[in-house]
Amino acid sequence: MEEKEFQRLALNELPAVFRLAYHLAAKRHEVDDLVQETYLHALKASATFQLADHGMRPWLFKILRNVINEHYGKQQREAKLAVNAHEPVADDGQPGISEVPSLAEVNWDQVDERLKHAIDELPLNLKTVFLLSAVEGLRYREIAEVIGAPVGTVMSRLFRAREMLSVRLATLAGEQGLVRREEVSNDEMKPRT
Amino acid sequence: MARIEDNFRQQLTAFADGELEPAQSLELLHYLCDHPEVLAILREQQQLRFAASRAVLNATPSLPPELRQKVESIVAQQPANVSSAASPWWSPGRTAGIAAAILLAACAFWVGKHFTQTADGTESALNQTSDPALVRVSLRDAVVRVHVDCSRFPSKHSAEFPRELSPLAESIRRDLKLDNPYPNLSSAGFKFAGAGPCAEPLENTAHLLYVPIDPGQRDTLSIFVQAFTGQVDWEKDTVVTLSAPDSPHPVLAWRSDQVVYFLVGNDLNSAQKAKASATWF
Repeated sequence: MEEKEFQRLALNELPAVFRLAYHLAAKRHEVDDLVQETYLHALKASATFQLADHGMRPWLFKILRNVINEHYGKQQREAKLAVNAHEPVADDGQPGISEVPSLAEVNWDQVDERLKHAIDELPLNLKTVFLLSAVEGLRYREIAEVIGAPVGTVMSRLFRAREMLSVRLATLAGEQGLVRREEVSNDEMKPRT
Repeated sequence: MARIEDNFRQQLTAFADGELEPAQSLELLHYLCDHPEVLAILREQQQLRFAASRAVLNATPSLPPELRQKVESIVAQQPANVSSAASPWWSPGRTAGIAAAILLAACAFWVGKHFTQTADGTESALNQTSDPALVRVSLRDAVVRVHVDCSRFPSKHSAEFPRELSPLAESIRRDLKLDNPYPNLSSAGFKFAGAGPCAEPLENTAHLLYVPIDPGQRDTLSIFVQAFTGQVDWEKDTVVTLSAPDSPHPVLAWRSDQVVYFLVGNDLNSAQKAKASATWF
């Protein structure tokens, strides 16, 4: 691949790399460093890059994830995961039978801020796969490549991330009135004469 | 609250993401037909994903220009010795899940129909509200979400315009003065990949998907078309920008007498170029 082509492809992905770094970084001021470090690593590893069928984005995301792991350090990261986790979960634990929180009454037009907050509170490993899937649109096998884990782990983490978000939203909907308001009463629905 | 095995819910999540194997998808699809309560959970999962994506995108600031400059200088530092096994991301190699994707599309369409027709008697919020501003926001969010989701599965789009929307196709031909019911965006670097019908909340809308002509490019572009029924309040033959200036998915829109067009891209530059090719005024 031509040098300029590599540069063009890499820079095309800059907004996506910045977006993921922004939402995975612990502090705002660290984002720029993470992004720059990602591109420095990418440049060093450019000889190993092969433009495959899903472009450069997953490759850059994988580098970003490694940079984040290095940046925060393994111990600190694990501590952060433990602090962040609302419920301790094991990736490969045996799922059981659980209550499905109903989101039927959630008013989806009013949840942005609270939902964003709930996403921020997800453990980092769950948040990463959730953002890669829901926001960046990566497929499971691409996510598996990014996080260096089997597709089954991706499925498990996505499931748990959504589970935690659903529980949080259902709770918020009950506590803070994020419910669909009745647009019209039954009487108003009757034909007017 | 319903009680469902976690394993099954995990499968349901994968199904909603179009990631199940064809046989599993078919089996689940049959199951869903007989279990509306599970279908409701599936729908909530889709709404959650939609809302989460919107919340994150809205909360993301624009890329700082200083950071762009710094990264540009980093990338320009040394030659990249890159090996290439270039193949386009929509190549046959990517389409191992074609059948699953088709099933998902069928299911999404069916789910949309089902809920439009039977679930608690409600219609789409897009059709209910009379506030044009709310309509614009809802439509914008919906087209961005579908663009992001469906661009991953270009193979599920048919080369033919959705048969059930054929009157719309005629209106588009009239607008564009073309034989095909879709704009030609080759001068903007895109080729038509196919069309597909959308499910709720974009019922009666066709999704026209475009992929880059250059195989080294990844970003796709979408045009959504729906019959103009007064759902938007802008003047005809005028382009309006529905997205925020720093949005990762710019949304430009315009309408004719009979059709509303929404163009969704992954960057403003390519969206503007495509708009120039897609508009007739």
